[in-house]
Amino acid sequence: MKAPANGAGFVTTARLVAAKDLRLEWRTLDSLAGMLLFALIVLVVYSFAFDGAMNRELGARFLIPGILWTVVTFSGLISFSRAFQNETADDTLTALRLAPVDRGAIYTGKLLAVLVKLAALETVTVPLTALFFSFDLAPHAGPLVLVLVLHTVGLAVLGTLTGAIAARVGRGEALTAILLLPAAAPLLISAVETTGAVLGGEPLASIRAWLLGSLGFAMLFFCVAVLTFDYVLEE
Amino acid sequence: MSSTPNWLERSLYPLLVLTTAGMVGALWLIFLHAPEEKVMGAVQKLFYFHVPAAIMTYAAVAVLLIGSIAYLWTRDVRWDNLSIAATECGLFFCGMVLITGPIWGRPAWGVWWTWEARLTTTLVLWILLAAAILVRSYADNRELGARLASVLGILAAIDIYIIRKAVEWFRGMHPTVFKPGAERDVDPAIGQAFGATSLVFILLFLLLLAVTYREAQLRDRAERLTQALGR
Amino acid sequence: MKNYWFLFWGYAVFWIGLAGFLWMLIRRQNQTRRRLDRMERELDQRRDGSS
Repeated sequence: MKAPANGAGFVTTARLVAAKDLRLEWRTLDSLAGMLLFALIVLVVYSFAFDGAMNRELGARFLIPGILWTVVTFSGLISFSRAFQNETADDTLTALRLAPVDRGAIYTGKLLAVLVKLAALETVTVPLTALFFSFDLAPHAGPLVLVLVLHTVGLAVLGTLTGAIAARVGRGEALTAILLLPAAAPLLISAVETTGAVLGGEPLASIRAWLLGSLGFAMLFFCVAVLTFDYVLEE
Repeated sequence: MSSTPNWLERSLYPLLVLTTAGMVGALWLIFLHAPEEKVMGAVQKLFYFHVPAAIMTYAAVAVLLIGSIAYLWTRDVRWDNLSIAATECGLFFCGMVLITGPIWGRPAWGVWWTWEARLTTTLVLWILLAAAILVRSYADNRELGARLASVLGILAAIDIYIIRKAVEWFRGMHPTVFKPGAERDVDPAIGQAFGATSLVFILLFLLLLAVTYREAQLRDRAERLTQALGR
Repeated sequence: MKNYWFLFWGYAVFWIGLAGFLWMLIRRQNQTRRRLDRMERELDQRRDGSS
C-alpha cells in the first residue's frame, strides 16, 4: 500500500510540490486574490462592529489581536481548502497519489505553499489592521513577527490536514472551518494572548511558555499529519 | 463476515438488567440516602449524573483513539465500527454534560454559561465528535469515510488534552467540586452515592457501546449485501 | 425552592436525552432490519426465477 520512496527524496518532493502549487498560484492568483479580498471585507466589517469611539475606549491593543487572528484564520481557510480542491477538480490528485513518493512529503509541499500564501496575506493585512485601527506597529515589529510566524505555522499545519480531509469528501471552506477551528482552539488562544502581550510592549520572556507551547503544538501535529496523510490521500 | 461475537450478544441482556437495577439503586442512593449538601442545596444532586457523564465522555474518546489507530493499522472494519460506536456514545454523554452543566451552573454560579476551562473543552469536544460523524456521512464510500474519520479521531483525542491545558492556562484554574482522595468534610453517603453512580455509568457506557457497535455491524452487513445483490 | 426546579429539569433532560438516543438507535436498527428483509426476499425471488 505504502508507496516505496524511490521516486524522490522527502525534501525534493516537498519542494517540487510546493513549487508547482506556487507557480499555479502565481499564474491564476486563484486563492490569494480571494484571501486578500476576503480579509479586506472582514476588516471593513470589523470597523463597523468596533467603531472609532469603541476603539478609543478599549484601546486598539486590546482590539487588534482578536481582529487580526480572526481575519488571518478565516482568510486562511480559503487557502487550506483550495490547496487540495484544485487537485480534485481535474483529478490530478490521482496522479499525485500514484507518484512513487512519500505522501508525507506531498503534505509538506502543500504546507509550504500554504505558508507562502499566508505570509503574503499577513504582510498586507497586519499593517492594514494597524492602519485601520490607528495603532503604531513599528516599535513592536520584531516580537510581533515571531508571534505571527509561530502561530501561522501551527495554523497551517492543522489547516492543510483538515483542508485535505474536507477536499476528499468534496467539501470546501465550510467543512474545513468545522474541522479546523475547534482543533486549533489552543493555538488561537495562544495567538491572541501573545499578540496582545507583544502589542502591550511586554517582554518576550513573559510569554515564553505560550510560544514554546505553540511551537510544540505545531511540531506535534506536523508529525501526526505526516504520519496519517497516507490514509487521507489513499484511494 | 463481520457478525457480532457471541459473547457480546449473550452479555447484552444481562448488561441491560444490571444497568437498570444499578440505576434504580443509584437513584435511591442519590435521592434518599445522600443528604442535601449544605452550601449548594438541592442542585448539588445533579453532580451525581453530571460528573460520571463527563468521565464517560473521556472514556469514549479513549476508545475512539484505540479504534482509530487500530483501524488504520489493521483495516479491519470491526475496529471502525468500534470507532463509530465510541463517537456516538461520546457525543451522547458529551451532550448530556453540556446540558446538565448549565442547569447546575445557573443556580450555583448565577450564570448559564461561562467560558471556563472544562465547559469550553467539552463544547469543543462535542463539535469535534459531531464533525467526525459529518465527515463520515459526506464520504461517498465506507472505506474513505472510515479512514478520514479515523484520522480525525486521532486528531481529536490528542487535541482534546491540549485544549484542556490551554484553556486552563488561559482562564485560570476553577474550583474542583469534588476531588477524589482529598479528604474533606463530606458526608460519606455523598461519596457512596457518587461511587455507585459512577459504576452504573460505566455499565451504561458499556451497554450503549455494545448496542451502537452491534448496530454499526448490522448496517455494515446490510451495506455489503446491497453491494453483492446490486452487482 | 426554586433550586428544586433546576434539579428536576437537570434529571428530566438526562432521561429525555437517553430516551431520545435509544429511540434513534432502535429506529435506525429497524430500518436496517427492514433493509435486510427486503434483500432476503429479493434473493429468494431470484432463486425461484432461475430454478
